[in-house]
Amino acid sequence: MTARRRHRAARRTAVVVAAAAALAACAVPVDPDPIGDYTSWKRLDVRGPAPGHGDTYRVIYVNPTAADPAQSFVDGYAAGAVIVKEIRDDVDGSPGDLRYLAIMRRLPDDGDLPIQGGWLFSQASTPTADETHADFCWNRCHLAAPYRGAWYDYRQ
Amino acid sequence: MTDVRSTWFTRALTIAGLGVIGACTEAAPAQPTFQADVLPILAANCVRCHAVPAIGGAPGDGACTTPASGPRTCGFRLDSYDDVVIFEGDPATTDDDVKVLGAGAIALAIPFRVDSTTAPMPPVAPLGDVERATLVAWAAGDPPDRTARPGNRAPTITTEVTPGAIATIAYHLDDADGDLTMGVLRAVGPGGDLLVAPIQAGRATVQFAAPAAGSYALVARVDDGGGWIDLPAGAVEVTP
Repeated sequence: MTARRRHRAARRTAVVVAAAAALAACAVPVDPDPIGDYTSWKRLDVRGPAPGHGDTYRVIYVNPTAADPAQSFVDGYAAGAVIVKEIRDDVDGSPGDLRYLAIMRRLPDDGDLPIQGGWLFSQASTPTADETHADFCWNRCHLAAPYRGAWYDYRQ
Repeated sequence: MTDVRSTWFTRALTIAGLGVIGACTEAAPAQPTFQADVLPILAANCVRCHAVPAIGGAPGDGACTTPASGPRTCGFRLDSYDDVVIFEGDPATTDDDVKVLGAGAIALAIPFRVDSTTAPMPPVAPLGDVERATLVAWAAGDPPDRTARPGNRAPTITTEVTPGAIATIAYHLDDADGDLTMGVLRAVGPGGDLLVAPIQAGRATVQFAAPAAGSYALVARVDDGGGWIDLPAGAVEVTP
């Protein structure tokens, strides 16, 4: 490896570590109702790079409320809608190891949880791990999502 | 023989034509700058809805945060690189402030909306290839560029003030370069450094009621894409 490449690699590592530290510093523990076994919910698979998730394979599960075709996006997803996004390695077009879970819950804005655009955004390392909230999810990405905070129309 | 000549002539004409088209086709800048390259695209295609107030279903009042402390954030605007506070309540705290995120904060999402096949932005008239490539290249910056155009001229503001318990301020915010310009009008006086109103390029009238009577210096804190500056904007007398 040349000196220039080593420098670039070191710089890249430093940036990643700094970004991870910044995100970790902003993460706030949250304690919403557990999502339970979500693997029987409606499923959507998405590949490719995405803000905040990198070039990954995302397996997205949406509960029956989020998938209800009777919802109108004038008001956005109905209260009780839950979207669970498994962020996995992309192994030649197939879902690989789980990196972490990103969870969105549509909740009423009347509690102590940090709600953003009607949603609680949280992340967990595994389905049963403690959840943390970070402003990054909303501020840098989902705020601009086309379906009232969600990137897909899960009614379809 | 005639056919051969014709073929060669046609090929030569085609190559020459492609050369002319290539020479005349605008290329996206490799390193787009905010004021010169990006802001005009946003101004022409995005800010009609993605400004303050947001319209047409753009995220606005209905897309707010509920932090434990500090300002609420509601929606985003694409006429500003930076986040902008658009409402202040008690000057002693930021807990009742409302701010809107700027284009720099949500830049990561822009390429995904302009390239979306299911919900593209703009929704009716898609961006051209050069515009799209410019936004994508700009958004990939870490952070996205926000430099000014060389020789950028600062905006100007004039005001006409009618004093009173609720004073009336008519302003004309202008930019000699024609850059999209926005900001806030502030009043500095006995009641503190107070937000009067968000302002945009053009003429408008706003009202100002201060918590303490007296004379207030008006300052327009504006950005034409090249960075924030403070412009003296006269004074207003607020009566008891």
